[in-house]
Amino acid sequence: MIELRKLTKSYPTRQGRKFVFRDIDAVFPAGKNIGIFGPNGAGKSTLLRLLGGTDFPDSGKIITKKKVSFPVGLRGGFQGSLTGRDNVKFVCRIHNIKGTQMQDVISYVMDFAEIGKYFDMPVRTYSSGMRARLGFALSMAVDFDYYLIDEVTAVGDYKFKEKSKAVFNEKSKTANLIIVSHDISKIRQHCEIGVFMKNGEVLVCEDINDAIRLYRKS
Amino acid sequence: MLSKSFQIQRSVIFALMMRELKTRFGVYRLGYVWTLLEPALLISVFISIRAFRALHRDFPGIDTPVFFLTGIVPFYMFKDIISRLMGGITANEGLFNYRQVRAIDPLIARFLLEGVIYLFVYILFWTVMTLFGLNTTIHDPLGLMLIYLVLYLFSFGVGVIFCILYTMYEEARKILPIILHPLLFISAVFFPMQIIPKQYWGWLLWNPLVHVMELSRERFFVSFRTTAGDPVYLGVCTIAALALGLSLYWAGRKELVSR
Repeated sequence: MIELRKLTKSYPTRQGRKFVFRDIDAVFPAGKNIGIFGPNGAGKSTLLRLLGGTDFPDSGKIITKKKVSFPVGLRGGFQGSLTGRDNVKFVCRIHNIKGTQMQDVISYVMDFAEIGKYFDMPVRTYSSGMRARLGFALSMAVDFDYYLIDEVTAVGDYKFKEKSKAVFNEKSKTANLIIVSHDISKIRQHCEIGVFMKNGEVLVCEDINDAIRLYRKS
Repeated sequence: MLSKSFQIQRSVIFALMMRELKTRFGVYRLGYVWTLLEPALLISVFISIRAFRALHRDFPGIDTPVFFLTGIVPFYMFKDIISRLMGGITANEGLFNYRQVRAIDPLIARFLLEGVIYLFVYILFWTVMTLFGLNTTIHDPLGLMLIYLVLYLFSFGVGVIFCILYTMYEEARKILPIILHPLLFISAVFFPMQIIPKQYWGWLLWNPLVHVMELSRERFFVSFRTTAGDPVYLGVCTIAALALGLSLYWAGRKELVSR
């Protein structure tokens, strides 16, 4: 379970402070996959970054006892001057994955991301699709209770989409996904709970179809 | 709980140090050559200029290259720590995607790495000079180490201040060379304060590096005496730099990683 309590987040802009959301309360029930959607700029990625601990709320709290992954998005959390391999090693080290376990993660990521010789080239030479695949493969290689996925699988080709579908099904047995996507059919396929975001509101629908209806109406 | 977060931070800093080693001593860069070459060149330039050789003749038993070593290597450590720390956050932006990595971590990693590098550089120069038969006997090794430790901490404080300024306002990058370049000439790096007429001391003594140079030389050379170096002033400056740097960091720690 993840609880958002009185969560407020704003960014300073030239026109003054812009609130992404103000004093929102929400509960994401345990053991369910969660799909988040809403129009562009509704704060979906911001929410994901807050959940992943990459960004901090102005006030309020996110309460959970579960291990939440880093957010996997198109921008990817990589150091451009390092190779893909060194980035993977870095992430292993900060998650205290060592020795043969680290080797396992590396070969899993190489196998899953399928970026070939680019794995040993600096990440700044990657296309955005390659970055996203590397980030996605890396998060799947580390064990978490919640995986935060931001639109990533949309960039892959057919084969990558099939692979990510399979790994989602596999992961759903032991962990949960929180997916941000505009691809409604994919969200419906994997998620039971729907979260609709618009104008700083966060609506948690127990039935994904209710959230989809709200989204279509908006 | 506390020990767990300490353990996480330790592995983050280790991971960041490995990452820094890759880019600082990367395959395509001659980073490590420059670290040695720059002070070595400066020392040889100073030795070859006769006017500089005469600067410290009032102290018997001090060999010129050793005198320059005690000024130039610590000065370069100070300079390098500040410039490395300044870019420490912007150069690692991608890695703040992981909740374990806090804004201060890359700074600590770079600080530790520079410390190891300059300890190595100092020992290397010292050894080479000893092999060449120069008088490299250290009169008070513990006292010397203490002064260098204080310099090391002072550099961290100043480096963090510059890092926060630079990360918030990019223009700060332009200020640093303007400060650092003249500093080489007014910090008693290649002369003892004794040769400076007393009426100019007032201004020069505001600079904490002058105190580092004077105090460290007093501990290195048995015949060197300083009336300029004030350990209390140096200590106060160090504590002030650390306090200012860390409070700036604390105030901006969330904003620093999310931009």
